Amino acid sequence: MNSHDSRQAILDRIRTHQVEGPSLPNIDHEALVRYPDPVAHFCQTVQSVGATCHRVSSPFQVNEVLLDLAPFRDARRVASLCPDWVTGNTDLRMYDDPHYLKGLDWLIVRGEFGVAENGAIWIDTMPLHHRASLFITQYLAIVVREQDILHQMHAAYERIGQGIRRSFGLFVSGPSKTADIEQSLVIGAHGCRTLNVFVVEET
Amino acid sequence: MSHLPIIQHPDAAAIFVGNRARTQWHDSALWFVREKRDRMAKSIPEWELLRETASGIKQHTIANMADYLEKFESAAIAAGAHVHWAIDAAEHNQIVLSILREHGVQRVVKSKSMLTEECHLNPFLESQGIDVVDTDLGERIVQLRRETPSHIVLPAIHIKKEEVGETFHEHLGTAAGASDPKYLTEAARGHLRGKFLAGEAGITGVNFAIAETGGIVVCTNEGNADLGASLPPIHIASMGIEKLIPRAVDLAVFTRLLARSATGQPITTYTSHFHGPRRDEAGNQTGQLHIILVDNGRTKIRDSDEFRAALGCIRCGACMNTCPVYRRSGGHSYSSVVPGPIGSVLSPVSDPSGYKSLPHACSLCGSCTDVCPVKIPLHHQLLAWRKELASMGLLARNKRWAMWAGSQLFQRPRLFAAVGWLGRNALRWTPRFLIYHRFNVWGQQRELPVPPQNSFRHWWRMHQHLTPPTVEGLADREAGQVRSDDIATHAAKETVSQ
Repeated sequence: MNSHDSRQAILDRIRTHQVEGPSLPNIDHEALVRYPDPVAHFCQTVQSVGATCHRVSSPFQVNEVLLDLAPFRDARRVASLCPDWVTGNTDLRMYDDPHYLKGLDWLIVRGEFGVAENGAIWIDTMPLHHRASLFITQYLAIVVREQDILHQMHAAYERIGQGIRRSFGLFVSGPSKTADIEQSLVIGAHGCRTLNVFVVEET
Repeated sequence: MSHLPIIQHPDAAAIFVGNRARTQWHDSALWFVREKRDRMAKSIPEWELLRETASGIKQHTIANMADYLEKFESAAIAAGAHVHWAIDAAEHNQIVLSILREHGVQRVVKSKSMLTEECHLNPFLESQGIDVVDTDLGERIVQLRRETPSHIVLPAIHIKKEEVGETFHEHLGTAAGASDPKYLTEAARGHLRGKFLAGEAGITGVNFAIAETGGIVVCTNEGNADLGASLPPIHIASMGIEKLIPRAVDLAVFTRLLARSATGQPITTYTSHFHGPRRDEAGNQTGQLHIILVDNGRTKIRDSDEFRAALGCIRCGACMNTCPVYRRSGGHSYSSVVPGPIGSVLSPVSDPSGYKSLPHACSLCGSCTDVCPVKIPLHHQLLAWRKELASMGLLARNKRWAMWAGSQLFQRPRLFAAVGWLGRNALRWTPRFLIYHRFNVWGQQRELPVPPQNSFRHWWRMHQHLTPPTVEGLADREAGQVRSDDIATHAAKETVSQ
């Protein structure tokens, strides 16, 4: 059978058996959790999922904090999507093929917003040029503004809206991890080895 | 579907259960995950509302599946993806092969996908000379050991770290005797980085497909799916048609439930939303996205009023982690791609005869139903399957005989009383070797209970003159004042005095 025949066969099979179903439910936003201090809750959750959270008053402090970290001081290739605050030495747009990014040590990106309930940060990957850079980098840092911390995922998807249609977007919550060997949590599986999250007070 | 050998769950579980230390280790590893799930569920005040809503969304989507599939297809094509349809596993595998052949692909990196396991994609591609590397750590361990996953979320949960160490020593050259998870994970990271960079196409599964936008969502912790879908230019995403949800906002409900139910995390590390192929900063297409929509028996499940709700499954594995049978018998005892309660419901649909023992691998405790994030009435469905199998004439001979004998017994009160007397006395006086032998499965690995002196009917005759508990009496009892003529109190005394 070719794919077109199968398409028709599957749709026919479904349509010949009418099934009663409920109407599509909508969640009552009044019933959803709201945290008294979403920013504090966000930072706490970010820590609990294995990342390090830094609350800074100005984005210009990000570089200072990073310089305290040995892997950042020793890094050879750094790409920064926040050039005003952190200077990088690698321009992701220089490469046609993401395979050339295999030696990338650090990537510093902006997060669109954060979610208090789970420490997830939404990243629009279009400015990265290569979405692979987010996963191939050894270390990742994300800068997000305090005013952009939302309570839960319902608010998050509402905020993303039609922006979701832009090729590739994702939530990142903590560094890459695995517990596939005897349920022992190991940070740094295939993606970033550590995640540093900067929550900036100043707008 | 080809006819598979008939799986007898008790026989398949016997080896695993025979190793008491290992059974206990497996049991506690899964219970640990179940407890993490409980803590996470309790951290969300609206948890039950989320489950209710998720169930409603799934039921609605399953009922209107054809419309949503068409909507998804046209939106996905508009976003630049290629959409393929496969009626069964064989067609799915052929589609994958033809995409790979068209682009001259020899090396594939694959992330965890239960659908591709169900279609036996790996052995098929290997037989066609294509190198397939499973990149999820647990799946890679299982692949190197030439085993199959024993759990849908934790594929290597049955393997000890010392055994992983041996496997890695043999295949990855790690130090002999090394078993530190951190060291072994680091070795796998290095090994798989090479595979990712060499991969010419990436295959992933799909957690959710959004009908409204034509996008797919993949949820992982390790980052392997994202590397596989971002480094090579070709991304093939295989999905069962039941993965659909109507709108992007519905993702809020499911992303809140999935990881909390699965591993007790608030959300997976990466929740990736793919709309069309890879693009650069200027929006130029730099790769291809192929989405394969697979039926393989799903429309058949949809046809069944009894089992339709099982299509709502989001593959979190919570029902396995909580199942007292799964925890003690291990995933391989089910000999099906999806083990545990949900696997015991789904597998017999494709092959009732082959999987007829699975709905019996259940104590009907109902714990699976309680934890299911989309409220599938799993234990009711398992009971329904037993009825179905009986009507299909697929009940094992010993069960058929026992059911017949039970039916005879319950129809004859005098016979029932006589057999009760016989049983109480026989258990007390028969020598052990006549009770505990290889033909009595109920006497294996357990002591039978001490029989009571008298029957319930005897007890009832002795006590029926007592005043039944009144509404006031029950209210007193709730207040902590137990009335002396309360039947329950008498019954308790009676038991103690025996």
